[in-house]
Order: sequence, then structure tokens, then C-alpha cells
Amino acid sequence: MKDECPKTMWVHVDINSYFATIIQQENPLLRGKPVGIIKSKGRTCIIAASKEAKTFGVTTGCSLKEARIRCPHLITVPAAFPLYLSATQRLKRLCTSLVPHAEMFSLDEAFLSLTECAHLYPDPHTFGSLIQQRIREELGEWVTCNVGIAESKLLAKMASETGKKGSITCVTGDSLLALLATTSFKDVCGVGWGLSARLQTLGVTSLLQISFIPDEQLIPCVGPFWAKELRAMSMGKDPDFLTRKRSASMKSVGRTITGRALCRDPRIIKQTLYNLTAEVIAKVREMRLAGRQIGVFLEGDGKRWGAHVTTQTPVKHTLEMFLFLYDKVQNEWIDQFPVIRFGVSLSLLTSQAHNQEQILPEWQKQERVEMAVGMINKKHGLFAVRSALLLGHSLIFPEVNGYLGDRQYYGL
Amino acid sequence: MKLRVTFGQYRDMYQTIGETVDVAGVFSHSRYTPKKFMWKKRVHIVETITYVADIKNGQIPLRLYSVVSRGNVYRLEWNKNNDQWHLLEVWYEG
Repeated sequence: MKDECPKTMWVHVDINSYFATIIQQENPLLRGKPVGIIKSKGRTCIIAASKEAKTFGVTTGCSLKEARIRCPHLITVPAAFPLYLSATQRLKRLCTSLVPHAEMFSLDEAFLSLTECAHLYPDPHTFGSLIQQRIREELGEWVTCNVGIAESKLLAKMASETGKKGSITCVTGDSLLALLATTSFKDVCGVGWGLSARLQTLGVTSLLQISFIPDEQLIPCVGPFWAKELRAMSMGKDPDFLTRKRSASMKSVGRTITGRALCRDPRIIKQTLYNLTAEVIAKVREMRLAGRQIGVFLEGDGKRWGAHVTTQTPVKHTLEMFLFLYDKVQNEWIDQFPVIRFGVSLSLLTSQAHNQEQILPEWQKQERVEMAVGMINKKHGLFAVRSALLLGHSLIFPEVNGYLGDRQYYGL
Repeated sequence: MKLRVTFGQYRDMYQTIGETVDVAGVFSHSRYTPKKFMWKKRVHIVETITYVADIKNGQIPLRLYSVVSRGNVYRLEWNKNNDQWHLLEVWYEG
């Protein structure tokens, strides 16, 4: 490696149009065609678009109606979440085989530290080419990725976000200022539309401009926390959330689902909440955890309601968790609005090894039931044995999400 | 038959199957490669394997093979616990 290389070096790998690309890799009939990914059949929101669809202006979050106006030949395909998870696990294995320290940032993004092994490659660009080649070999010839290489994770990610599809971008002293000056906030990790809008009031549209704004103006606009973070980011340094070490254990497990239409039927609302609770408990038990804070939220018709309860003892039984949250729903959900989005969560998680087993006969009985159901479902598949409450209900199965909320559960 | 996509000039068609199928393949270098499968009393030769994914249903290890045969794309599922094969779906261009 050349002498001018910085002390630390991060490589950011971002698979292009991940959900659509994996589907196109699987199905050659879809390659080269505009593909829009929807969550499942009958859904009307585009959750991902292929490279070809993006050229027509089809973007994530677009309604199907709007997408079809922009691209009349759009092919809609339901997402295949198990395939995406499998590809991410392979990507993780590949990254850890190349460098000693690699971390998945989301389902389709990884940070690799080249600092410790930079001497193994003639230059960073060669390493970028190698990883692109290995990804094609591992995931398929249709799968391309952007690679950004820089001193910090922030710059590496900005470089790959702003590069052309399949490009390798190295941020050097010369290109650093240009990158900071020209990258819009939508491509800057951590700067959301709210923060971006506040900065706009100061006339700031790029990170570099922040260096010229005095604290007297910046702090009242974005607050002391973001003023400090943005100041570091404007010099190309990593903000706190990119340097913070991930907690070894999960703090909470949650699950949300958006229904196909507004639901007014109390029976379906109850079944959906029970279904989500069963999934949360299955994951929590698999990780040998138990939690004390139970949360529930409902959303629909422009309204939102949520509540939580903190228990004395850790909860790890589906029925116990469900009774707590359903009690909240029955007693505190006054509006009773039609619901389209459901969510449940179990927080304040601790290891089961640190929790004392309860001696109440009813609790012991429930524990035996959970253990038996868990063993059968491990052998025959999730929900092979389930509560009668879910009879006649279209089952909701676990799905991996883009930002990898359940990374510990999935071994990522 | 279910049509998943039927608008514009493309008529990519998709059929959910979910039937048990017989698969013959080669086991070499610790890796199994399906070579042909029998579905509806007809042998389909696997021309290309486009994608392989290891997934789990609960703790049941499953491997998905997406294969091309005579221009159609088939998604095959192998249950590693009981060695059963299922044809999950077929895509063909109409």
C-alpha cells in the first residue's frame, strides 16, 4: 500500500437495488426489465425498484399507481425476504473472510476495516475490485455493488452512495472537499429530512457549509447534540452513531405489520396482535432472553395509539405477554379507530440465565406448554402448533427488515 | 393458474405449485447439484442454477434452488431434515 494512505481506512459496500437485483439474479426472465418489488401480492406500495425501473423515476415508497404512470411496463414482484436474508448472511461471511473486522450496517450494506490488512493489497482500488468480483461469484453475475473507500465510515458511505452503479470511489485529500461540498443531505448517513429542513433555514445544503456557520447560529437551529455531530461530520469525521460499539445483547424485540386495508373487526385485531406476540416471544425465547416492558401500538385512519406496561418479573410466555398488552388495548384504547398498522414489542430484555424461575404452578404449566410448543415448532416449522385463537387467521410469519433490527436473532 | 404480472407489453407469468417432486442430482465436493427433476410425469433437465439460498422454517433447514429449464424458472425447495423436495413456483414468459 502506498505511503500516502491514511491511518484508518474503511470500505463501504452497498449492493445496488438489493431486493430487485436478487430477484433478477434468481429469475433471468426479469433481468434488464423494470421491476418493482411489493411486499406481497395485492400490495400497492413499491418497496424497492430495479436499476431499470429507477431510470423511469420509480422509487422506493412510490405508490403502484404512480409507478405505473411513470413506467407503464413495470413488472411487480412480491418480495422474497428469506432469499434476502440468505444473501445477507453470505455477504457477511464473504466480508469476514476478506478482512478481520467487518460489520453489516443494514441488509445490503457492510463496513469493512481495511486498516489492519491494507498492506496485503497494492492499493485500495484493487481491494474494491476484488470485493466486487467476490460478490459476483458468491451472489451471482447480476449482482453489482458500489464501493466507497475513505478514512471514515461516513465518507466511505457517502462515496458509495453518490457513485455510479457498480463504481469504486476512493476519497483522497483532493476529492474530500468536493464530496463534502456536493453531496446532498439525502445521501448523508444520519441527516434525515427534519434535520435537513432545519439546516435549510440557515441556507445550508451541504456538509461543507456547516464549517462556515458559527455556533451562535448552529446551536439554536439544531440543538447542542447535533451541532457537535454536524461539526465533526463537516470535517469528514464519523458521528457518534457510526463509531459506537453495538451492544452485545439485544435490548428489545418488536414486530410491526401493515395490513392490506383498514380493519374494524375486533376479532382480527386481536388475532393479529396475538400472532405478532407469538413471533416476538418465539424470537426472545430462541435467544434465551426475557423482557419486562411490553408495548403495543395501533395506527390507522390518521390516528395512532400506543401504550406500554412494565412488569415486576420478566415475561417470556406468549399468553402472559398477550394478556398484558390486550388488557391495555381493551381498557385504554378509547378511540377504537379502524386499524391498518399493528405493532408489539418486548423491551428491557435480560438473559434467562439471570432470571429466577417462578414457582407459581400456573407459570410452571405455561412454561411447559411454551417449551413443548417451541420444540415441536423447531422440528416442524414456526406455527406448526399454535393457539386456537389463530384458527382461521391468515398467519403472519417473521420477515427480515432492511435495517436489520433483529440482527442478533439472525446471527448477523 | 395465477397471473402475477399481466400488464404492459410484458406478460411474465407465475404459478404457485407447492407439489412434491423427485429430483436427481450429483453430490460432489460436499455439494449437491440438482440435474433434473420430475414434475407432472415429465422430466425437466436443469440447464442453469441461478440462485441458491439457505433458509430456515423454525429450525428446519431448507435450501432453495432456482433453476432454469427450457426457458422457464423453477423454485425448488429441499427439506434437509426429511430429504423431501417441493416445487414451489414456476415463472415463464408468456
